[in-house]
Amino acid sequence: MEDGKLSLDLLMGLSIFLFTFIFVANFLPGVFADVRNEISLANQAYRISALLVEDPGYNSTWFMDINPDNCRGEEYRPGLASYVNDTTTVFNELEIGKIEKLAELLSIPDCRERVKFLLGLNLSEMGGQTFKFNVSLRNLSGELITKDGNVLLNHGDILPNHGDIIYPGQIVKFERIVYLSQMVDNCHIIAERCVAKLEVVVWI
Amino acid sequence: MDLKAQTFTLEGVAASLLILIATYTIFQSTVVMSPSWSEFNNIQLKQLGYDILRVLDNPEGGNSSLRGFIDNLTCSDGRYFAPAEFSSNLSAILDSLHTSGRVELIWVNESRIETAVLSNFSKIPTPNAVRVSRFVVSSNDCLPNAMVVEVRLTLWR
Amino acid sequence: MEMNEKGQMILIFAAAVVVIILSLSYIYTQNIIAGIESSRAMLAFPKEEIRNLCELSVNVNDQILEQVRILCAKNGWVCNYGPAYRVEFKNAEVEYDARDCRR
Repeated sequence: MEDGKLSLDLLMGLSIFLFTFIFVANFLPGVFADVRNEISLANQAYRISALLVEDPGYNSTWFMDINPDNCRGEEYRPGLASYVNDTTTVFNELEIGKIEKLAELLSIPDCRERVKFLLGLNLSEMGGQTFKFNVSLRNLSGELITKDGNVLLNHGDILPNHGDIIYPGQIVKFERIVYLSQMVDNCHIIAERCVAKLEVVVWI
Repeated sequence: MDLKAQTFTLEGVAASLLILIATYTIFQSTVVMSPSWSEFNNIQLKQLGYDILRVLDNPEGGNSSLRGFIDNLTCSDGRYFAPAEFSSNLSAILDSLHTSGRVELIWVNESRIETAVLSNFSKIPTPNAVRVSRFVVSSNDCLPNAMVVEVRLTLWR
Repeated sequence: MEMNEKGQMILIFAAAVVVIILSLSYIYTQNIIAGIESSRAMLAFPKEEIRNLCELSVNVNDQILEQVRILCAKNGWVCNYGPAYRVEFKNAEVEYDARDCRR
């Protein structure tokens, strides 16, 4: 009679090894999937800030044409930059009327989803992700900008609480320095301009 | 007891322990933070720098604007002083953004390119600083033969 | 010749571990490369420099243009602008030539 080629120890060792291997193989992609989110979050935050600060929006009278009734049906794109003489965009100068209109649209849940879709934050129809975002206008000291006592812009999805954030990278903030087309209550006047800070926060 | 062939089990155990320890270390360490994180910080600083230069570039801006502070620059012994208003305003902006800055002026003096550093913004930047520039049409006796000046802002955190 | 089958298990396990390490590093590198590629787009395109030239091109003065060219060259760029919003900008990665830089 011949001895068995496979000993019991071999089988034990092999099974322990394979068990661990399969466990790790299933577990591991989850780690990198979370880390990969960071890359697209930063891009989205930069892109949204550029769209708001450097683009007057489509079409140039969107802030007068769009209101809560037709925000779902019309094709438009929000943008806050001033547009003068029908030809020139003034970069980094934000039009108060456009800011107020964006705040109005973002405070209504239906319109907010539509605005997020038009800004490219909802890619689910194309098989991509959706993002949540929040945009606020503050002065250089960090306080929200108010006009006639009302907060001008602090709208979007509700920011997650501190306890919900597990590690940095799940939420990204991008800041831009801008100035406003009209005077408001609490901006810093620098070089004869009403200077403020636009903060765009994006998370999953 | 037959002690032969225990090496197989030991091998299996050792290999699985190795994988477990390696995976655990990867989870716990922050090394797995995507390197694009530091790139992102650079992008944020760079864009802020461009924004600051653009916002300060107001043709009717008085002493705090780029044109205004170059027009009213004073110099002595190779040191260049911007108007107090500009210095305090720029310091206020930089402090609110938690960054430090260095401002240099570069202009063409006939056949040479000359550089001047503003006294109030003359700290040495760290290696990870970003640098942004803007051309401003202005002139000043302190900057001989200059008709356009490159304002270079170096920012770091 | 007699086949020596000793040590086959060690080799199998070593091969499996190597495959694991390779796949981990592949995933990790993709992570890095994706980050670098997407963030380079912002760092590489000189959007602000081109807009600066666009704004300068409103009033063209030969001496100013000459000084701008020299200052650009010091930074490693080739700049030119002409009347009516014509702007040219070249750096190591980008060549930009627009008849109307506002568009």
